[in-house]
Amino acid sequence: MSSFNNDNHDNLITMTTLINTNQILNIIIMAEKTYAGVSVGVNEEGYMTDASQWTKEVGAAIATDEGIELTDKHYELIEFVRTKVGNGETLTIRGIGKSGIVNAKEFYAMFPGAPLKKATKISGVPKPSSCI
Amino acid sequence: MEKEEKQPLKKILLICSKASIEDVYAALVMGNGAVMEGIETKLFFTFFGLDAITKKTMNKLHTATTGNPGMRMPGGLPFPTILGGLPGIEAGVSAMMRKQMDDLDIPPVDEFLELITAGGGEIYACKLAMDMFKLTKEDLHDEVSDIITVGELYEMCDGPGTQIVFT
Repeated sequence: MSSFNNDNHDNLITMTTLINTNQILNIIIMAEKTYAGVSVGVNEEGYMTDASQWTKEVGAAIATDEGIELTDKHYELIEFVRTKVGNGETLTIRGIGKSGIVNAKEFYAMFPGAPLKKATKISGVPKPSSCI
Repeated sequence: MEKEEKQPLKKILLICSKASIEDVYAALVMGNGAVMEGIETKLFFTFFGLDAITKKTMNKLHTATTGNPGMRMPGGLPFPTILGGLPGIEAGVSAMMRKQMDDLDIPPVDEFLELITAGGGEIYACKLAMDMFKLTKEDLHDEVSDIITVGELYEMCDGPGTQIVFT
């Protein structure tokens, strides 16, 4: 039993070290970028690091960088994406196709190229980690 | 020091020649993933792989329960090959596998094909295999663009940044 406790303790130390390393890394690689007059934190791939810094104007400015002009439909979808990610759910193209806002084909047309990556970038949430 | 420039993948052709769940889904997941990244994607189904685009069979694919050393019982115990040969076992295991994939939001084959074509991916059937299995265009799912020969397949693979993958 005592050895079990020891193990736990070791794990805890490793975890704390990991978190600290991550924090340090974040500080090193985190950059600031100004969108629509607002300075927001972005990572090395241009994804915003703090979703709460996002405003409609910031979204529109990121979209312009990506060559997309946002419509009401885009904003409806951005809202959906932000809510989903905020709830900790995995984002998939299939899920967006079933959102009732757009179907998969329309989604591809609205964010040409890599839709899931572009939509999340414009929505100010992290890059999706989904394979489907 | 000279900086090496990255050469991103521009076009991918995936060839699927087998009908088991794992072989078909390997091609579908990779194909859909490529479409999601904005890579020009073509999927070519041949031999038993045609099952994946044939209306009658596409959503009833099986995984082999005999001769499959990766097969495990629920819980991780080894799966005796002799058990895999019993009637109904393969169908049951396959249904279970499809259910598990559905839980992970992995779509059934027909919907997966629709997702791929929605993003601009293209699905092709092999002419020789179609003749061999006596299938016609009517037997195939609507998302199949065309029935093509090997020569036509290679014509599609032109340009730098193109890769062919046989699953």
